[in-house]
Amino acid sequence: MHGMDRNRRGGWLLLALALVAALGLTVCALGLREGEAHLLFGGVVLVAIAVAGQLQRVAERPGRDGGTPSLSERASWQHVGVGMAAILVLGGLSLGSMQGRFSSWLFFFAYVLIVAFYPQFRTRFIEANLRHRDLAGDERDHVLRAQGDRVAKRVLELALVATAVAWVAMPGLSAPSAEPVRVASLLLSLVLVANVVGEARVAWLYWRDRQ
Amino acid sequence: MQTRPWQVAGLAAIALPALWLLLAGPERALGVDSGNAGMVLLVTAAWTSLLALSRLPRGEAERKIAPAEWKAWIGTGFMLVAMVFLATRAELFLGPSADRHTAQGVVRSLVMLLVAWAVLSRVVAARWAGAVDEDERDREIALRASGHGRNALVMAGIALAVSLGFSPPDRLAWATHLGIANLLVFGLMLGWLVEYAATALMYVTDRRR
Repeated sequence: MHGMDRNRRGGWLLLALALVAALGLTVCALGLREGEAHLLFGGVVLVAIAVAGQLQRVAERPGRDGGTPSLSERASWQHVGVGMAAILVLGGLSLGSMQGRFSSWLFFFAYVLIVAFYPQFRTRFIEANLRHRDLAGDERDHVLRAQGDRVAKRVLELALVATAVAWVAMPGLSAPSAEPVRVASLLLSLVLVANVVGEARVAWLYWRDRQ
Repeated sequence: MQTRPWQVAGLAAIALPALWLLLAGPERALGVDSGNAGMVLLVTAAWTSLLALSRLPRGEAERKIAPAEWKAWIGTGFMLVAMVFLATRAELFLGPSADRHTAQGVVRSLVMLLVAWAVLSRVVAARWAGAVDEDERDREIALRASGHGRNALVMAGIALAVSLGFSPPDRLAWATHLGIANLLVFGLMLGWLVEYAATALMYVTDRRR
């Protein structure tokens, strides 16, 4: 009975992911036709979200010894999804969607909070799903998390250096003071990209460990 | 072999003018760019102290101080000087009247400093090559310090983004691409400084326990 329920839920999830991918491709096509970078970016991120969702479905299957994903592994996947959704909005803002509108400030304010409290969401997710006598994290969790954090730090450093070099090398860009929210959103997007890469690395390490 | 007072005085005679030239000196001293001259003197001081260190026998005191702690202290010193150097030249980068040519000279000096730091840290690593130089405690400290460094870097990024996002446009005259690029580099150095300083402090605290 439980198996049938799981299969049915998996089928619906697959359909939802296919719809997200189709929407992404449509937005990409629109972006190409209109020559709008933020639409193209949004479409690419939607497709990436669909791909990540499918990868999560595959990765969360029981391993060879029947081991199911731990809470920490599921938290990593959840963070990849949340981070990509945030990148979709902030990346779009930095490329000029919602230009000059008040909503861009509201979105920016909301996503500042998401970026600032990103690690706390993870802890909250794990604590909320802990069952009686479960531990929040063991030695293996700490080792895998440390590797992910190291990758995230390196990615953020490289992204900041690349952005700084690009801005110095291209003096012809319009002044940031004219569209400050765009530049600010770009900076937050870089932090989020680094977080997502780090979480993806952790999720992959968990998966490999279970195989 | 003991360190003699004249050696310390000699080192100070090189390091102090270097710091003066870098942080508070005139733009040009004796017809030479003071930033470059200060950088050369500072690197000379660092090399001299490293040479003195390498000639010391591997005594009890040295065995107590882990290679990672030496590296952390050197990194802290270099990052501190580099950050203060960049901060004292901030008016060259920020604002619409930023002088691109002068700013490039400062960036050149800064890059020299960072390259010199990278070379020095390699030399320190080579000095302990072949010895078992990392244990469980070192890894634990490195992990925690790296976390502090990453948090500092993320906080610097968020602070810059919030300043840009929530400041009225008439107060953002400083926000040129050149200025923000240099603030990003400053944030990066802050992250490294926090990481090195946290490492060094954790070793000191651990030794005193």
